[in-house]
Amino acid sequence: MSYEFLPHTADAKIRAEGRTLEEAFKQAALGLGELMYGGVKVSSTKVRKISVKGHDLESLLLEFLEEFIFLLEAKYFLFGKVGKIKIDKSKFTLEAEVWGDSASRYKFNNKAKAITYHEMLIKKVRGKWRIEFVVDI
Amino acid sequence: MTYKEQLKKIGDYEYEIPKSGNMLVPGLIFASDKLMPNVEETSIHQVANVATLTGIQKYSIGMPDIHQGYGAPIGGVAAFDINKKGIISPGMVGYDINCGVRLLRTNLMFDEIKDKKKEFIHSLNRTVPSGVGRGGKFHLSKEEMAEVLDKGVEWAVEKGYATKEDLEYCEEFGRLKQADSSEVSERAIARGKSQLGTLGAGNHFLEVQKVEKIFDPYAAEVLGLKEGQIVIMIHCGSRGLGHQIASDYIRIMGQEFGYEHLADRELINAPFSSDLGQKYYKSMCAGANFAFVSRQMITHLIRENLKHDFPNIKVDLVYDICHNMAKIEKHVIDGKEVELCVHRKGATRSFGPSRAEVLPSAYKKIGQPIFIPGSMGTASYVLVGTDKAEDLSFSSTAHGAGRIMSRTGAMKKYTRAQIQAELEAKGVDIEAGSLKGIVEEAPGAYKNVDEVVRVSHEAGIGKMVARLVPVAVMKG
Repeated sequence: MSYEFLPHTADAKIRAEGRTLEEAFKQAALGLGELMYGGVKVSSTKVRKISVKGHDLESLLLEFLEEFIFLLEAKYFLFGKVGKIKIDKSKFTLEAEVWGDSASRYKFNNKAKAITYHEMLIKKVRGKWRIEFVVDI
Repeated sequence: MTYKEQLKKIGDYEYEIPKSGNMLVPGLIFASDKLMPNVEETSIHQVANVATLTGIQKYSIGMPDIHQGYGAPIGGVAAFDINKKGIISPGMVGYDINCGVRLLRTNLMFDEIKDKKKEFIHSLNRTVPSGVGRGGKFHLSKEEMAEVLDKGVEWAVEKGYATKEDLEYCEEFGRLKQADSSEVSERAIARGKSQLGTLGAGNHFLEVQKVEKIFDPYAAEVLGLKEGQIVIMIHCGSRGLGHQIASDYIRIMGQEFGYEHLADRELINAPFSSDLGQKYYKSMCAGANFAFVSRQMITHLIRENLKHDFPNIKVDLVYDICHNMAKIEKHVIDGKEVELCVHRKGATRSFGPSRAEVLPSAYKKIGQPIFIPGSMGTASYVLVGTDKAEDLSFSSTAHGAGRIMSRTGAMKKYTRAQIQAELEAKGVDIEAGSLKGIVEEAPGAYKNVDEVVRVSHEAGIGKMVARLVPVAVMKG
């Protein structure tokens, strides 16, 4: 249950792991969060529901992560943690509760422009789910 | 054998990647022996991947500042024959549509501001929002957004944010006429509506610079540049609006055409003349117009701000260029004129004097101005396009220094104190939204911009005019 940054010349590559796919998705979101507001502690004063659909696991991950950038830029909602999360692996749907606060209350520097499919990986490695993805920054 | 091992040196500054596998054309990289060791295998591989796309002509090309991107490399150029099923690819344009550079010249000389340069950048920092997370100073309605997207800088002229002369001095005269805001998603508009006139983060910046050295006195005079003069460089793009347009069409193209056959999912594309190709193109043009207007609004804010401290100041636009774009251009291939969709991702158009019809009338004799910003704290350059570049690189050259080290690598190698000391030693003041950002943009994480520009000049794809050095930097 963790995430880390891997080397990539121009952009940011994140590896996230979890015992379940849901946990790995959560960690992936936290990794993205570090690019968006690294070092800032965001209060959990508001909750938002995320509901996304993909046509494979990769597109589901991409839609899920893009939602955080959208919430920030269009709704000024800065997420701090991901609460309940439910993934349907056959229908490629995801529902989650995310906690956070009004972005205007914080000083931070969002670098994440977009989530890319470049070198994206979602697979089970030694009993754990591993996710890798590159963020355009 | 790696792609790097396959490289063949075919000229002083040209390396060829021979055709292999599914490549339809060879690859070509402009570099010197000094730059080559810093060109990664991954970016050469990406040049080769682009060479597999339908309709590609002559070469898949890497500029002297090439480095690893997603799908296509940054510093990548490829042209597709639109009458031979040639494609358009959002990933080859880049997420930050019309990320670009605008140079403003002032009538101030360095000596007039050297004692107050800290105040100078501080006041600009308060005026120009980075807009990260909170939006900027202009909040537009849906209807106004549609006008910005469709009309580009002409909208800004109507509203009093731009002069008529400003229009003349933008690539495409500040408006891509093919833009159609109705093809842009509501999500993209929602992301962009409060971001007009904001810098954004990452490598985007606003820099106060001094013209340090002139190499081409005639061209410099035409551009209104002289040694010791203060100029202002703005580097930013279409922000969330452009990013969302790219994401939207990457998703839709994936659904319609699949991606299993592609070397990289980010190379997803559609035939330019297909419905989807056209929709993306019209949206991309709308995103590009937004970026032009955004740089214009920043210009407006700067003009208003500087008037307070310098009542007689004049701030004129030298030119505004695009970095991440796909353009329809006519080029001659094997003696025949063909219509191409030229993708430049992290590359600058480099039109010489023979393209006078698309240049500002004052610049018809010298060619299109090109600005190549260096890494933070290092020099930037003004160049002009060449007619020779038509043959060599579909009229394209470099767009910056080009990274050689990842941001994580830079964080491990440098400290904030080190970088700040380095900048101070050069006499550069800095204001940044994020101190971590300064370390990630450490000059040592980039190729040497002097060498990148030298290669452009020597290879003949962009001619040196002037060297600019930073006085004060503001980063998003």
